Amino acid sequence: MSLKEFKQDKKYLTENYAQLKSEHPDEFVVIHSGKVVASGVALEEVLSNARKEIGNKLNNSVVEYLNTRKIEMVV
Amino acid sequence: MKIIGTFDKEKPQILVPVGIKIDIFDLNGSAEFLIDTGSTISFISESTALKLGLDFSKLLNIEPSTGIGGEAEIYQIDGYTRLTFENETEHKTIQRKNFRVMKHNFCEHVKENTRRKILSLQGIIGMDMIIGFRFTTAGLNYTLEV
Repeated sequence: MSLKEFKQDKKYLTENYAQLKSEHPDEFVVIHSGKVVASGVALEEVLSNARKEIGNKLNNSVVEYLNTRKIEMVV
Repeated sequence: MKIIGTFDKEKPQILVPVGIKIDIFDLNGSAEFLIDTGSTISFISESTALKLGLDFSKLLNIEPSTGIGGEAEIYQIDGYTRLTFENETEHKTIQRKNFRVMKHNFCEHVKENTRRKILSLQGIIGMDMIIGFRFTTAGLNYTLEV
């Protein structure tokens, strides 16, 4: 069930990526049940705020950095 | 169990949603793992560790490694970590003993938004697991059989 929720929130992120990026440029966002529950530039602080908001549901939420610069990942 | 997908031409990579269960800490969660044939090992990244509430002080720091934009510390999760893959009709759980967590130590020259982008990487399925899978690509289509 929890993986399903994660996939639903990932789908929400993909479908609303452009709008979310314009609302939260260069920020981390935490998405749970189709809503942004925390955002900001410092990952630990964002996760801490999200945990206060949704508790352990954070574990199955989507955390994404909405980068406005195109950065190629070469690993 | 087959996971079938299509590469995005703009971002041709394979990201697979995975359920995570860490026995020793009784932690559950989910993350998206990058299928990375260039990585010899599989691991949970720092952002996922923080999201799950993993306490690095309770993990064994096993070895430094060359990572992206600096050095990376590798930690070991004792006991079993269970990774669950699923498609529309079925799921499969693979248990891995002493699974790893990676934490980045960035070089000074790495820009802040690049650091954040690297931190947003959630996990890697590397060759230690891929060799147990059947993985094929055909044009823009891929099939991962776990």
